[in-house]
Amino acid sequence: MVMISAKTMGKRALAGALVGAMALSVWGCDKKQPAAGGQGEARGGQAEFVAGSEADMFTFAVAADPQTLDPGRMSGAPEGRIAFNLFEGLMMPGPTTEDLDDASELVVPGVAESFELSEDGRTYTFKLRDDAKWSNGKAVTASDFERSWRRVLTPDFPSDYQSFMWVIQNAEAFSKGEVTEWSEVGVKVIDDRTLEVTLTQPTPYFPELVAFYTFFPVPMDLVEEKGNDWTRPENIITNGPYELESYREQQDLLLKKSENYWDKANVALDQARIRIIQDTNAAVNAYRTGELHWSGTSLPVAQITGLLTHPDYMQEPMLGTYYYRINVTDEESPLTDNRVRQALAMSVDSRSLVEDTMNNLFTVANHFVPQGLPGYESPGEGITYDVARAKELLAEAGYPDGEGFPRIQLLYNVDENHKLIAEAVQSMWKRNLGIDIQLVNKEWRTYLQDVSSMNYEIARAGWIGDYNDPMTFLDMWETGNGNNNTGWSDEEYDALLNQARAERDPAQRMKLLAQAEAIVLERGPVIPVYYYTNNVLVSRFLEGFEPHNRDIHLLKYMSLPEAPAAEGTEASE
Amino acid sequence: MRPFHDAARFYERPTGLVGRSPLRTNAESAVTRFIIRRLLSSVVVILIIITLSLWITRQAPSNPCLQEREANACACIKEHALDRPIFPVHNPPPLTPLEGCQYWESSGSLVLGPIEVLPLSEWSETQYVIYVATLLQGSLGGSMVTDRTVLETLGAALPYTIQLGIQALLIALLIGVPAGLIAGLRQNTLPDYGVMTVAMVGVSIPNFVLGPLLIMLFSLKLGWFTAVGWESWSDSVLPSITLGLFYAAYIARLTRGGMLEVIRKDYIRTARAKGLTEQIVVLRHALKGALLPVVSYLGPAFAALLTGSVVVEEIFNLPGVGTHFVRSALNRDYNLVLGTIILYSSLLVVLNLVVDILYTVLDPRVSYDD
Repeated sequence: MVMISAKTMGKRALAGALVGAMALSVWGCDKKQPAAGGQGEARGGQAEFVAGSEADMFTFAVAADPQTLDPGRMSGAPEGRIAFNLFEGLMMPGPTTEDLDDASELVVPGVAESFELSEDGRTYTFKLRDDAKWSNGKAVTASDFERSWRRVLTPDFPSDYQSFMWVIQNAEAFSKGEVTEWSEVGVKVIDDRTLEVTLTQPTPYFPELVAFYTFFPVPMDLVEEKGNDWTRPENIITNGPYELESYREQQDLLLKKSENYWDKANVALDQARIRIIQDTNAAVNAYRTGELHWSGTSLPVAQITGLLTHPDYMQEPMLGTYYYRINVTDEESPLTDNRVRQALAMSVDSRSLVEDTMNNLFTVANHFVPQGLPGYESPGEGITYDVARAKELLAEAGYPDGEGFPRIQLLYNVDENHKLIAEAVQSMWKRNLGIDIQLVNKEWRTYLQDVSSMNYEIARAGWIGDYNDPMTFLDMWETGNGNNNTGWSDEEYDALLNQARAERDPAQRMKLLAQAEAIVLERGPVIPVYYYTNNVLVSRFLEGFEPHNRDIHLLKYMSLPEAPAAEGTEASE
Repeated sequence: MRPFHDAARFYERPTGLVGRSPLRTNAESAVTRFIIRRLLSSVVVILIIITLSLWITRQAPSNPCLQEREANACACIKEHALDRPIFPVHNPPPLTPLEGCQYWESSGSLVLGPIEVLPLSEWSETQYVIYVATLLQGSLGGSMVTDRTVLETLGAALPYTIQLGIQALLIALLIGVPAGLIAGLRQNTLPDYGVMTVAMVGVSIPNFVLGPLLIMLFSLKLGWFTAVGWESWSDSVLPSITLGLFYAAYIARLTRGGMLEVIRKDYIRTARAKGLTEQIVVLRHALKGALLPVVSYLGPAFAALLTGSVVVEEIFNLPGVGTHFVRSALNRDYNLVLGTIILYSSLLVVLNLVVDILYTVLDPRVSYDD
């Protein structure tokens, strides 16, 4: 004991800690009382810890190592969190998505200081600002964007979001190798400061797409020179408010304010540390011990429940729906009968699921498209809890009181939340309809394979919208869409979506989309359960952190006034 | 191990290999032969492990390219295809096309042309040949999920895992040996019962219980240590204790058992009869024999500490190898899974070899001849 503590002890308390640890473990392993008491006290005096009091700069967590720092190839949440601060697109996401009057407020100018939209709604002309620079001091030009977008559209380029660019004229054909001349694709460099983009259809959400990382510019000379190694900290060149200073796998990334950024005067945080904390328990622990200013990721029910009254707890609405999808391809299965699907949907009490099962952490969903999209009005009441009607429908379909209904399976991936919901739904269907279902839980990757190969009957699913427009929730149910995974197909539905795509009048377009959503709810393959929310811990002293329904939070908007003196932390010196 | 024939001669024999010149050359060549034999068989063992692992990873359902939403899986599969030689192979075996996918070898924006690849998730001899050839080139391939190579990833993680293992072993020894000696020398007294009860409890408490308990007490309540991560040496204290305590308890039991056996031997009686103090009898004569079981346990223990830190690394969010082992399996990152398995199995093989060699130092009668 002495040998260990004598080695490099920095803190006086440490020697005591060792002795204490050994006392606990060697001489009194059954003395669990002190530890349990500690937990009780910590809960009782929650406000005692001060977020970030132990951190030497603004610090937040991401849930995994970034798979890549290449915005053209990335697709996950940790990657996005980093890319939005290292790079800048023509437009950038604004600070918040709440209480906006118009969808145009979702984005703010980035590298482009302005854009013009043609009369037919198909041609965007972006005017780039003069002072936009790469971190090596070179100017960001229109051709940087053109070359970067061309790279993403290269056939078989490993980008999961390549299809976001398909709204551009001939982009899809080019990426599939059907068009080989790049000049036929609707991206034109007019001059260094002007980029003209022609779309196939009027796409009102295009500015928000352009503010997404797949559309961010990459330093093409460097990319061509170094290949995938261009993103290494020693190589990487970025054009956003921050530069990458270092990256240590499984540990952290350090960001430093870029001296070449055009808007650096308005960037308050000089540096930031992004810690990689994979386990949410560990993230909460790190937050409680003052190592984080922001938990970064949404915390699961079990961990957030004890902190709901803490002043740092924050709930953001999210553009996402938790739902069950139904496989309609098996001719033998009763699930091909829409009356059965409706009966199942109507006998799920989503209010009880949210309030009783999920501790009110989420929002009840009766529709598939989340509420609050600017300009969009959800069709009617949506799917409401109506056991009597559900019973009627089931009887009409030939299964009065569930008689003769086969034992179907409900698939979900291993997770405490999913399990709780599935068990509640199982008992609702048993109680309300008299049908038995079997719960099947599988490990994540196996679950993905079962869903994508449609080897399931009913499966838990979640969908997070990619932009603030109903289309991101509706196009997945089109015939043959790669995210459909149910085999459901409806001609009228497909026609409505195509009509909406061609529609120039925004109000009329939204009406068409609402009609389409009504069809999905009436005869589609979905049972909405709840709308996601983001349940995070974020320092109450952090300014400029506003709710964003796609969980995009740019450090650029945040500031951390001189941290108040840490209270009640004498034990940590 | 043969029984003691001549215990009195044993304790009078000088320690170590020093001063045994007539036997020395013989012993040395035996040791060398032994090491070479063991190294060769190790290579075979590792090759078998690689073969089995490569095959088994492909039997797991799903593949690294599958995503929750529709992804460019084709491109991903081809980017990571193991059938595509990453360096020239003489007479590469013929490749069959992957259905629905045509790979374009792209270098920057320059498109070179289509090449054909096999499905990533299926086992093939081609994959095997290429993988082994990759190993021979001193590479473990690239991660199938991140932009980094497996060697880089494991290289960054290994020092943490090793330091954690060494510290845990030290804790195990520093607590386990004295506790076992006390118990052994005071057999059937209160200290013995006390120590052995605690050791029993120590063996029984799993580290996923102990870790959170320590965090609760020392990080959340007392604020003495950080709860997650590894920035400075003090951050490794709680993980080392969590990892080492089980072994401390086990070593205490081994030491006690060894001491009980040795303390009744004739040569101890002889030593006492010579009038040596109890201290010298215990420390100089009894201890060495009593520790033999502990020493033979050290190798497996250290190997188990290095490869068994998975749970502790998860709890404390440490940047070690164990975390990669779990995550890579969940991500179906075939190359990282294989790399980790190769690393772990090599560690096990090497550590066992080292222990076998060290064993002679404590007991020269152990023979290396068959």
